[in-house]
Amino acid sequence: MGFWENLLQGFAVSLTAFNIWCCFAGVLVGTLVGVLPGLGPTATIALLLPLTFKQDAISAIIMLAGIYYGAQYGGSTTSILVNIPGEASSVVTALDGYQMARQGRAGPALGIAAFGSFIAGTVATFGLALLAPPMASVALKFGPPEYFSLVCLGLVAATFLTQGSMLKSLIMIVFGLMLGTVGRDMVTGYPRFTYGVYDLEDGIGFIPIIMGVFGIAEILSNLESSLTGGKDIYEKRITGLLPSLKDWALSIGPILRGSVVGFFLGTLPGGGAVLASFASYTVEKKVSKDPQSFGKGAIQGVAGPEAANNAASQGAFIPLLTLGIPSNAVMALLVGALMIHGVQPGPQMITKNPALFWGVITSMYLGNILLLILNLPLIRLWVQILKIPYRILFPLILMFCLIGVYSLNNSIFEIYLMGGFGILGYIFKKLDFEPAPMILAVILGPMLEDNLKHAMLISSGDLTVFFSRPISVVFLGLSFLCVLFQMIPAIRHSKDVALKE
Amino acid sequence: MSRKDIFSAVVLLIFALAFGIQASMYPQGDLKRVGSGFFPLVLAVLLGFLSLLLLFVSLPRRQEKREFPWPQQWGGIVGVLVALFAYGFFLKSLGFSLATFLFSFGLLKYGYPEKWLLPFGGALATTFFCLLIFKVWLGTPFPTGVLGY
Repeated sequence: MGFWENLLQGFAVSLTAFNIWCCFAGVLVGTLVGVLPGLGPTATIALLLPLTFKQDAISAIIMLAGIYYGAQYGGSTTSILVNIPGEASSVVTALDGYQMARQGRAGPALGIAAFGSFIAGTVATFGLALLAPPMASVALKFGPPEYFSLVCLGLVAATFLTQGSMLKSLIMIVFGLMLGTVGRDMVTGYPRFTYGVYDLEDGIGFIPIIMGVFGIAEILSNLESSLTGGKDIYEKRITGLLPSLKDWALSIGPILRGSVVGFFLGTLPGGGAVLASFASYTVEKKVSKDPQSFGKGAIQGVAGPEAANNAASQGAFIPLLTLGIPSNAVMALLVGALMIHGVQPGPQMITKNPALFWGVITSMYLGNILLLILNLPLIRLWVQILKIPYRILFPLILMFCLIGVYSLNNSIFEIYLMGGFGILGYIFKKLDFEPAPMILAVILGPMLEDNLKHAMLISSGDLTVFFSRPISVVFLGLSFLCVLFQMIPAIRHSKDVALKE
Repeated sequence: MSRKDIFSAVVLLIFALAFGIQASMYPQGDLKRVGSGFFPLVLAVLLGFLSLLLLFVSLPRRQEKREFPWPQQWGGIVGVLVALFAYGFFLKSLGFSLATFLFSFGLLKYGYPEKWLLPFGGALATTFFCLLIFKVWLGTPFPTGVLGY
């Protein structure tokens, strides 16, 4: 089937009343999560995963994907109005967005963020539909050695994204891989590190880990500061959400550049919306005729990064849908969601589950339209939600974490596990260890070990199998370069500056 | 920075050692048929090496003597953790509704120590909302406990 037939097939799936409703619910909840600081999209998707158990796989993924890119947009509202980014990917938006709000231009800032996200979403949807099929057909040629090397690349690339020490990121990756070995060996069935605990036989579920290190640890950190402190919320009436012609003239270039940069950075293993928004801001500042205006309310500084983070969140679906490899923690959760619904993500998904594949892709376009319709009129509601004190929010978040994790397997053990990882996540924060690479490693660990064993088996124990197959060599070479680059002081310094800015 | 890095490195080194000892007790197999203990053992060696590296790069910076990052306010953190584990512990005996109500009430009361009505009403609403979503809509089988629901 051709490109347009595939898209039409996708729209036939995503435009059913129930799937439109799922997409709507997803982007609404996603925006809400993005607006509220303290509960990121990863923890929310983990939290809401049980709500999708009753749905079929397509509707469930459409809803969860909606939460993801909805959160990217919601984060910008808080960045612009309160100077508190709801999501890490909206940190850059705060630089110029908040300045625009202070100059009485909150409306156009919010408006261009919404339109920029929409245009980027459109570009990314077409990019996804164009690139995914050829990538999936290439991936069909991958054997265990190629997959082993690709997972290595994904893990090493994840260290690029973390702020601070690469050594600590590598430690977190190895620690995550260790957690992934707990439970019965997938090949031999031998129990490892279970110590007779029945609940550990199937391994440590990644959802209690995610809820612990992202949800509970975040609450514990926030409890260290005063619960009664207020936020300086933009109180003026927000008017004129539609950007002027001059605003459009200044923004269209950054939006288009941000869409392309964001989409490609999103597809990289370990890449994502955060990196994309930073990259777009840097590009816009470099190409601008008036770079001094950046940081003082330049609309380009809002338009570019907002387009980039939205395009990146869609680009991140490429490795998931074509290779079955999640590029970040949210995508890893979607792998879990697909597997719960009996769908194995990977290159065969496009042929085995075309309705799901194209349905999810086209639902993103629908989601972007819904975000545009939803967000502009609801901005005042989001502002009101921002005023909910944290001392009311944190018991609710905690309660949802508890019930959510229990309802996955009706297991009290998972509540304890989540609590334990909450403490661990809090300690990691205190000791400057970032948990994101660990999460990726927990999920990719079993895949890495499985492919290592199979590669060894097919090569009769010949370790050179990883270096004698061209694709595998390329992946391993890139992994090596990734480590090497970060060891070069100049590159390490510029990465730290970019992530700290 | 360096003091907490030295602490991290030592703890990780001990963990790697314990993990490695345990992994060495599992079948190792050979390169053709990799055993269940091979991969965990490799990981333990790798973590041990990285921890030593962290220790090695942190030691020269020891003179910086920055404060160890102890929590600023223990009360809330300990309270939330006790409540969390207590919820799991008492869920079966108290039942979903009562445990959820008591848990929400306790946390809301922590946020509003001077008020009674708000935590009570908030806990009631939370319990009702959770019952509606998880029990009625999703049909999750929760423990019923002393109240019978």
